[in-house]
Amino acid sequence: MSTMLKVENVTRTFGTKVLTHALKGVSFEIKKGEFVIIMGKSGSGKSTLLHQMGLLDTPTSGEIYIADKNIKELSTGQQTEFRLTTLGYIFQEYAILPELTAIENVYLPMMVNTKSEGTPKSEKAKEMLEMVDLGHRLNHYSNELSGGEQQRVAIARALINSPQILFADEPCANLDTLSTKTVLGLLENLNKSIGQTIVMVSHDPDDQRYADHVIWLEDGLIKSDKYKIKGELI
Amino acid sequence: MNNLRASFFLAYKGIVKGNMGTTLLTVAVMTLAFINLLFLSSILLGLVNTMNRQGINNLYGNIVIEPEDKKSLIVNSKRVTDLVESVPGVTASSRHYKAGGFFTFDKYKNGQNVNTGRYSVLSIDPSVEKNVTDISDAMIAGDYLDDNDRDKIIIGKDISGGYEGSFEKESLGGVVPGDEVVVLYENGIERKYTVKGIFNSKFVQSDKNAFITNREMESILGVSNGAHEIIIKVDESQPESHYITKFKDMGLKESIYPWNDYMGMTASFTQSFTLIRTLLSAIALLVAGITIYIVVYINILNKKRQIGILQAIGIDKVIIVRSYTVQALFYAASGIILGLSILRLLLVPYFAGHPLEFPVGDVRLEVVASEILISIAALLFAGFISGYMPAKKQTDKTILEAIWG
Repeated sequence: MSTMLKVENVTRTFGTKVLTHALKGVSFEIKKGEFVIIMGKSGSGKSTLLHQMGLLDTPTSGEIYIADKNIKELSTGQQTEFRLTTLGYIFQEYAILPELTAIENVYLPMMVNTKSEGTPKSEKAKEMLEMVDLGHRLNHYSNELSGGEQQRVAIARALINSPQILFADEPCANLDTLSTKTVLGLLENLNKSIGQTIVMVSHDPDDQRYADHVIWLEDGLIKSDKYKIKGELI
Repeated sequence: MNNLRASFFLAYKGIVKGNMGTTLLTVAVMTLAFINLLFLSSILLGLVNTMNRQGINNLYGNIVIEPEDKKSLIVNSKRVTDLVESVPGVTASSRHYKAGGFFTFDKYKNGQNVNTGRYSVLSIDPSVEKNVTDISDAMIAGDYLDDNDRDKIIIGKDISGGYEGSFEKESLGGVVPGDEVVVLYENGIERKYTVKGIFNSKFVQSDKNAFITNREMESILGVSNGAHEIIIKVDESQPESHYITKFKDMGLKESIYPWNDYMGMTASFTQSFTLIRTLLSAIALLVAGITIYIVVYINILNKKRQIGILQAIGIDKVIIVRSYTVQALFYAASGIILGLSILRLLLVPYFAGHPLEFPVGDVRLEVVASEILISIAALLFAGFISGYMPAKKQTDKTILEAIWG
């Protein structure tokens, strides 16, 4: 399998007078089609790492390559384009826009994607919502959807431009058990059925069962980097 | 093109699905800001225009012809009036004599309650004058002069007194039609007149005048076919300078002036009011701009997380900034449309029916197209800046800053 994402000695330091070293030099690789879970305790640096990879923040030092592109070399405009066309991002909180219906939320990133010109957008958005089992909620606003449904809309939105890699920042942190199961099942299904590369941050050790690559972070450093082989993390 | 569509789509949804109360309040503020931008300015313009119109209609016409330099009288005034009236666009002309008169009014004819005053006496050909000034339409008591009147006089309310004029204390203290006044002219001739009528032009400068006939004045001055001034009314399709040039080209040697050369006092009012109007408009515009800025800024502060999310999913900041700018422009445009409707459909008709009474006349709202266009452009510009600046500021922050604060 080809390398989808490569992180080389990435550090991230916050503050000016009092420095907080959130990442102290992290390196790993993610192959195409992997379902990776980044685990760690609160404050271990896992969300910070995801922000660097998702181009929401800029590393203090180190390199990140996504689909063979060094993201440090991308201009601001290219980064925006990259986030739109190559990456998908799911936030911990329900991050859909309250002024848009479910289908409009999903449709929006496709609307501005020049690469998707010619594709019937509302049809594709509808397909994506049907895929996350929300075909009956197309025209509902966020205040008419449950937390789990909102998160599924966010997943559909993240997938609308067929991203090469999907980042999820503790997507089930605010969900009940049933919704958590549905969302994680959905992500697992995406990974298995269409080979979607997924990088998910979680603090729940139970979530490891969905992954085939688990990276443990502790105090801004990688504690372990294991692959699941025959059901065992090695 | 897609980006433009996305901007308008986000702006549309932001307006339609945003807080209706906030939207209505914002539009109401914009409406008031627009009215504020034009209202006081229109009142002041109405005041200035009223003063000017009063000067034209009651004192000077559009153009005044005076005697040649170093001469006190226009000789052969018939020649002059015939000449100017032959010019297309000249609607009428009227010759005047002017004299200072010392008025004495003994109301009870017992010598114990005598009021006096020094006023200007103008003479007119009454039937001709009707075509040039509005004095004949301003009679509030008694009648206007006839061409053959000799011992009759009409006086302004500021001479007669009794009509709450601006110079009541300096008046003759309550003259009514039928009363007799004695006028002593500067050349020593004294005449007794029956007051035929009292007029109220609502213009303080003309309401301190008295009028007699030219025939009477010529007998006092011992002249004929002359004039101290000839005032001319034109159809105003051309500026006064156009007619003045024509008159001079036709060989008139007399001095010729446009009406505004005589409006010394009102001209300084006009200048001051223009300055005040400009200042008030600038302040109103600043207030409107700051108001939109605050409203949009608060709106954006409340949506900064959404802005961060939009950026995180790859929506270009230009799209986001443009969507908020469009929203601000929508608020400004709605305010303009509503404000203009209120102004044109409510305020202008109201003040047309209930004008404000000033010593210079009845003042109505004068909303002129150029001021409306300037106000529209100014408010739209304020809307643009007020939408663009805070949105730009917000999108210039990092995505995480926007999302997490």
